[in-house]
Amino acid sequence: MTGSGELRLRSAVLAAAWARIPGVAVLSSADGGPLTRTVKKIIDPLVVRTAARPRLGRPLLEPAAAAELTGLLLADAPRLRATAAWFPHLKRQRRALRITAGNVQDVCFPVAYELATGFGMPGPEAPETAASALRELHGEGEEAGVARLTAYLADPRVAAGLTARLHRRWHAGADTGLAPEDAVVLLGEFVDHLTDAAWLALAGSAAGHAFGLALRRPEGAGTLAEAVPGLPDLGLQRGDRTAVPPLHRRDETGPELLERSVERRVRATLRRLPADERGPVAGLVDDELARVAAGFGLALPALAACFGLGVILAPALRPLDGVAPGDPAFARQLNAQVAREGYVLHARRALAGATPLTRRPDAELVRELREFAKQFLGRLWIRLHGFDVRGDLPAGAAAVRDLVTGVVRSTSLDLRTKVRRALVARLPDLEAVS
Amino acid sequence: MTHPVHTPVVAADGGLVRFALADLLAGVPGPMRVELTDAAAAEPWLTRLVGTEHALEALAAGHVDVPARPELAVLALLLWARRWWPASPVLGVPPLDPALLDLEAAVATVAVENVAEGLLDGFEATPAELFDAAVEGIAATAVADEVRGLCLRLSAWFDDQDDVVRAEAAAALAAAASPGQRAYALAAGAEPAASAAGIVAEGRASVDWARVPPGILDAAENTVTWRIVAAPAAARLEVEVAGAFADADLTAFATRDGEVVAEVPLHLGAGRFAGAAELTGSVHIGLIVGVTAEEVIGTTPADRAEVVSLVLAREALPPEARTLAERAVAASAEEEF
Repeated sequence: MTGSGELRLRSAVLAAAWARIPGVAVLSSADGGPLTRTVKKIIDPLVVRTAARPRLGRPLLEPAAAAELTGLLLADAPRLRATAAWFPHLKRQRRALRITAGNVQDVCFPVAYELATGFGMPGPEAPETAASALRELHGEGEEAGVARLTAYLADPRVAAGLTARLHRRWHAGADTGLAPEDAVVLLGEFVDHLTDAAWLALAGSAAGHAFGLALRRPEGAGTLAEAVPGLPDLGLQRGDRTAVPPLHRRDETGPELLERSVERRVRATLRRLPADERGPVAGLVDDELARVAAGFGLALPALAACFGLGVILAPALRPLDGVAPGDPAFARQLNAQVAREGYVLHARRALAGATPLTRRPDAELVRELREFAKQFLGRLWIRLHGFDVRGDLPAGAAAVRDLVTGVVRSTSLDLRTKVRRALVARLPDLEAVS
Repeated sequence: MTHPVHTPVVAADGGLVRFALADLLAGVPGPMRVELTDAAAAEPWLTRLVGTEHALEALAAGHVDVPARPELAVLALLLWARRWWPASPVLGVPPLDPALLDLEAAVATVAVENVAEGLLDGFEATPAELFDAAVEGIAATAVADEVRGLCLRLSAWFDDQDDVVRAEAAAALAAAASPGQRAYALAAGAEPAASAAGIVAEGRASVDWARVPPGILDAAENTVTWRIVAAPAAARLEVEVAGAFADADLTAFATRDGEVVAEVPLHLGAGRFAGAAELTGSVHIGLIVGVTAEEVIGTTPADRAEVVSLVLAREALPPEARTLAERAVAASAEEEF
């Protein structure tokens, strides 16, 4: 047991570590600690990577986590110093290019860190480098990797060979020896207890893959509906059984998650991996073919299990409608987290047409809010796909819980942005009803 | 009293900051409540805003009450006024110029950024968005000097943010601000003479503010008049809503026992909305005017009366305790005499 006396506020831990890094004044607040935007745009996502290490992102830190956080920050001190040195260059170029989009710190902090990563301290060519980074950010750069991928897949002989291999693999790995009902039982046990023991049992099993592969059989959708009652349309697949995903993006028949093209999946990989960590395009495509063939399109069994978990939780994620008594406690908690968000309270009435905060209700947005579970699964899959590409695994039950919670939050943030846009400047208030 | 009409809030990243409407409207410093919805997102600004002890309290309890920060209180009041200001020539509450509210809110947002950088989650609007909204509407005004001052402050801030385009626009606006008056298009609502022939039932109703967008209707009570007129085929329900400032999709819903039995689309006329539709069955109806008939968390006549009296009491406040838009109204009124 850890007494609360040992817990420290995260900002105090960050401020203490930050004070030991010289040359970062432009990223610092008047009190000497890092700016809130430095924390949100650089430290959390890029230095600490709280998405992968959620226990370091909590507001109160235990001594071990505080020490780890301090260590990560100090280990990155030279790069942070270089980031601070790049920022004024970006500011100057932003002026010269007359860029007005977004808050200057929000936009330029991550770019400065990226430049610090690629170039170290700015040298004599810094102004030109900063200008081209901003141009690329604001939509003038063409991703070289994507161009190579497009060229590779455009070769008809290559495409024919890849398609044949994809179909062979798709039909080969069709049985894990675990019945879908049993897979759902394993998933359910984990959802109910969220213990490390239950996670180990689940992660070591074929439950995720078995669940995913069940959707490929005739009556696949029916099996799913039986296993998870009350399932809304999750946008996983178009028909009764998962269709073999096409190779090219242009051959996709719809936005369904499990039927996304190989091309789309590899493009995501290209976006996610830093340029120096990407192998040749042919290798990335080959890796992806193996992944596509696995249940839920995720190669690592534990990650497929995480997605299965998402499917089980999905029916309960209805922020506009509130909780149902039969939902698992964890799902109720997630739902409550979103339902409490100001924008949902707002949207529940404003956009569903229940309170006329806008002069014309936005049907599209209401639909998106109603389809929260679908959006959640889409984001969860993308996150897990990223883990799969890098070979990362959640460390234990708490990490899985944090991962799912984090995806719910980012889904929520994304929708909030849309809600906000829809409410336009005439409607500033975020009405809180308790 | 947690209805939004009584609860000005500022949306923060990971939390909400709430104020008591009576405090804000009376211009007295009261407490503010910081409520956390996402503690991890809120922690970086929270500790700076309220200090370690209160931050710990908020993290443990989910909320904490602290003395209001004036910068946040000013922003909360302006944002509240944009949604709920009960403009009503009938009650003597003047309409406020939305462009002036936007401009002052832009400056207030900057002030909050300066005391608690990164606190605002951008949901309600950013200085840039508020300024963009204001810039189109600012014309000749009775408070030209103040407008000039605010524009210069914004210009300096935008320049500091390397937003050269808006820095120039704000400076240009400062140079262009000229004294003058703004006219509001509220027609007096001269009621057309209704013939009494064939009227089988009639009544009055009030508009629930929560059912209409801001800036559309006079906030007074009993602005809705309706009558049912006998006709050869089916009876007609005629509805009129006096006191319109702007157009919106409004409907009058006739109800019996809570069920909507007829919908009357309302159209904007000279200073009023009006419409008619067929009605069958009993003449005992209720009437709801708004964008929808669905359940809303509504305002009661008592809620509305209280807000109106708090707003009217602001007449006695010194000018510096009022908003720029209110000072503009006061200055125009003086010029008229």
